[in-house]
Amino acid sequence: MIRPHEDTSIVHGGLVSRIKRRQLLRVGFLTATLLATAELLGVFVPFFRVIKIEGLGAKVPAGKKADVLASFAKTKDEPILNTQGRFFLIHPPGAVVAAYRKCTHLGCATPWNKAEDQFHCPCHGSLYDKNYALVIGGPAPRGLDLFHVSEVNGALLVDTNPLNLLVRSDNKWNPKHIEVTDAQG
Amino acid sequence: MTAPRGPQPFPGQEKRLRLLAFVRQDSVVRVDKRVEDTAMVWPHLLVIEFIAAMIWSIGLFAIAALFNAPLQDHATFDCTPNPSKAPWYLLNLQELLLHMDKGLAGVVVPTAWLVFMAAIPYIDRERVGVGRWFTNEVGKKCAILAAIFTGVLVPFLIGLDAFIKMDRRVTDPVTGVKTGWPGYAEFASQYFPGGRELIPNYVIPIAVMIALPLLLVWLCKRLFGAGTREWMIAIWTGFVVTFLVLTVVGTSMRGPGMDLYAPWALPATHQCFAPPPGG
Amino acid sequence: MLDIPGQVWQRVKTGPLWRSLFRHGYPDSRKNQSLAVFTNVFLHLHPVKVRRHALAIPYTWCMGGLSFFLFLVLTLTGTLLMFYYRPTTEWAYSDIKDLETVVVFGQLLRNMHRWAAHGMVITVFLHMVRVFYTGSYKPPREFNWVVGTLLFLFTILLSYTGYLLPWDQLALWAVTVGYNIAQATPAIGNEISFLIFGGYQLGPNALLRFYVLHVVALPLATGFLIAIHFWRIRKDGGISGPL
Repeated sequence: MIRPHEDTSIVHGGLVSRIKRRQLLRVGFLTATLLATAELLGVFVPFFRVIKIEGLGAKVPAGKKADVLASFAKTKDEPILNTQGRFFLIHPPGAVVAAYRKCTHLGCATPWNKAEDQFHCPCHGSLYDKNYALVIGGPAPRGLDLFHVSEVNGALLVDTNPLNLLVRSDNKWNPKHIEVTDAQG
Repeated sequence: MTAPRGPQPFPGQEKRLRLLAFVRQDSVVRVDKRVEDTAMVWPHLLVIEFIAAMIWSIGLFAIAALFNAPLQDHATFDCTPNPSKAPWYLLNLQELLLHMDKGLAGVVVPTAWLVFMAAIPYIDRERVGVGRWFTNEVGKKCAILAAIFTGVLVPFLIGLDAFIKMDRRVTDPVTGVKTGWPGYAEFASQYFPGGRELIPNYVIPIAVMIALPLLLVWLCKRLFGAGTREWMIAIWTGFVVTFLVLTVVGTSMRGPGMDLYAPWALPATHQCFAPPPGG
Repeated sequence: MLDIPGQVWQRVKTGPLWRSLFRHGYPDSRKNQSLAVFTNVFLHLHPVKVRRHALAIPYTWCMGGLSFFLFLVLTLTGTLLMFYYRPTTEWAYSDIKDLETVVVFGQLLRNMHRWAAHGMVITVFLHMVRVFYTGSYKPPREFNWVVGTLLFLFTILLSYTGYLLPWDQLALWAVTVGYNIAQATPAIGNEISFLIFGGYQLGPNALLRFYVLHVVALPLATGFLIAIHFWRIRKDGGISGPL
């Protein structure tokens, strides 16, 4: 910078070509800075995005279907709590369904109340029925949301991704929500 | 003669300059200030700092010895405390959540406020009044007006919201027909476009949050002839009072279900709703 | 015999070790008082002289200095707590319990850390209130006000990330409120909350993330901002005062 360029004269286009070179440098610096920033950002965001999910959000095994059905038969369809995946396995006619245990009112953890034979949310008293987990009282706007369930070699697998729910806005049981039937064998 | 090594000066600029210091005029020449106006840092300021640090160290020790930090049961997703509250310095936001859309109250409003707050010195650029509390008499009046204005309106709005939001329908035991005020969200869902979201959760809160500060600024200008600095004092006072009121209400007046209670009649938080044994 | 201690003291003060540490006499003259502030790395945050009204507690409330003091206390007590704390869902809670029951002075340190954290939120807020009402944000101090706004935000973030670490019911559900708010961010809510908390709910990832933010990232960033803040106070003409 201190040493002046040797040909300040008009040789080789002189001043004009130098200005162009400066512009080129300036644009180059700017591009390089932007690229470096973009690279950093591009690395940071995927780096902080967890891929291996544990607990809620993962595909949670919920035991052998035969065992689940046996439990339903023994306890008159009492829901089975899965703490890790935060869902209840319930037993509407003809199906095994996983209901996300998060009150659709304000998100409290909804417990099963054995004495009342229904789900009874302690926060604001929302009530859900035993077999369908649909609202039968209280301020909740709709039945408990359902997770997608699949059956792999006789074992139940629940996809607990809370962004991928079966939402029953009309608070009605719809047979199209059946993904795993309760047929034996 | 061989040319000396190293960088060469420009022709005609053999005398090389170095920048040793950059002195701003107002930091050197203080015509209006006498030397007596200053004090030596050692000992005068350092003594004050030392005493303040000692008092606070001892005070903090005493508080820490007297009061234990809270520690509840091990975290579990099986039991939701009712109400679930954020730390107290965020309860103002949580209080705001009750009155408008979640994203609006929790993200948009605080972000907008922080940006506005950072921009204050770029709006109010007049240097007059630096170093004087409230700048002048007008500033003081604006602060008092804003404190009263906000201190009355914010609790009133909270109360109003609690009052008209509640569903106060009575069901006729014979016909099963509900009569009475259904709460304004429900009312809006029946009679207004956008249902229970658009008008109750967006339009009304945004209108209130824009209109009331504007009204305050207008009042300050009209009543006291406030300039930029003075109405900025009014806005800031409004923020401070709102912040305090929302924090106090959120901390000491919200009980189970985030319902309003008198501070002295606040029920304890329902800690845990463990499923009954065997259930 | 009796003058031996005095002689030893004289020898020490004229010896090479002492004179390598302090390059001025006892600060009882103007020159030595100036040198005491000027040549000391900690004291030279100050100018040699301040304007007299800057000493007035009714003007400054001492709140800026006390915020810094609490930041130092929190750094010290926090570092000590780190020796007994593991940021995993298996251990966090029992480590805090151990701090309270089987670590000598553990309960006291935890209490100090907790109350100092609450105190810092208050002092920073009061400092902002003071700075605003005295018009100290006005030019040439505009940028320092912006830095101060960021410091207020960082104070709250530090406090909030620390709130989760005991991994008790209070922590879990208070931070869950924050999770739900982050989720309500317009357009990118689900993405951003998943990114920050490392999952669809608070769990081991969130605990570890908040820990790293709380003990490394945020204190470093806050320290940088504090340095800039102090530097700018000096460069913008010291503490504000009437023109």
